[in-house]
Amino acid sequence: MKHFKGNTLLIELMLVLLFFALSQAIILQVFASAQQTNRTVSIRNAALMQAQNTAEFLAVATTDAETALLSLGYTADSDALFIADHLSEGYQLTAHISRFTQPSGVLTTVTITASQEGHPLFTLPAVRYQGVRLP
Amino acid sequence: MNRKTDYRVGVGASSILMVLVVLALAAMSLLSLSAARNSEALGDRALDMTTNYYQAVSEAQRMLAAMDASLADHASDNPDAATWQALLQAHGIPDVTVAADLSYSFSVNAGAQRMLEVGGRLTPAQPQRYTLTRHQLVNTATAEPQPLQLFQPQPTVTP
Repeated sequence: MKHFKGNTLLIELMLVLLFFALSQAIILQVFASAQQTNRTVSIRNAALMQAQNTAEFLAVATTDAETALLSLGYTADSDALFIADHLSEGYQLTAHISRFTQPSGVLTTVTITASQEGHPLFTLPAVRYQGVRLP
Repeated sequence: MNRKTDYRVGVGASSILMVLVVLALAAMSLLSLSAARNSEALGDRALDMTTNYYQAVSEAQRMLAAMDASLADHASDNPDAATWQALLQAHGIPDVTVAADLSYSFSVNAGAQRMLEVGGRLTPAQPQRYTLTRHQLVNTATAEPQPLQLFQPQPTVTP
């Protein structure tokens, strides 16, 4: 009788361990998914805050857009493309400058794009019109 | 006399304990996932509102550029307010309103029941052809009255 009880307990423990392992495989996936979502959201929020800072600075800058972006820590990739790496925070900002010139002034459009590991997160337009004094 | 109390773990106790542990872990993981999803939804909304705001600001700047071009072209004609309004509408700025004192205003939809209201004064004779005195985000959501369902006592009628 004792021998039978011991076997039952052993079998039960084995079944319990199997059930625990299977359930943990699922539960860990749920935890990992939640962690990944949290990380993506926090990176996107940080990128959005930085992009807003850039847009607001461009709206009031007394210099041209290129100089303003350089003073914000962007590096020039080409004449119209500036990049700010925030790799420690997990994102990268790129700013593309385009201009529309008319006799009465210049309309400067800076398109700020945030990306995470090459995947675009969002795009924010920062447009500023500066009129010129005509004689 | 020599009684020994023998405590043994019965068959099934470990199963019950394990089921409780797994249920607790499952509940915690689902709560964690739910909190992450809520945070993501809040972030999505903040992103939408921010993007819509900057798109509205961009549209307002484009309208100011078009308005300035029109002012520069027709400043020498010295038109009155109604003519200015007609000229601006002809130049692709249909929503601008010009008052008799040459103050102008227009609004741009900024999403989420918000409007970006822009206003100022036209000064075509001066080197700076317009001034900007208003650049304000206004909430256009109308608050609907939600009266409390309170007991209304009927007036007693005395014979």
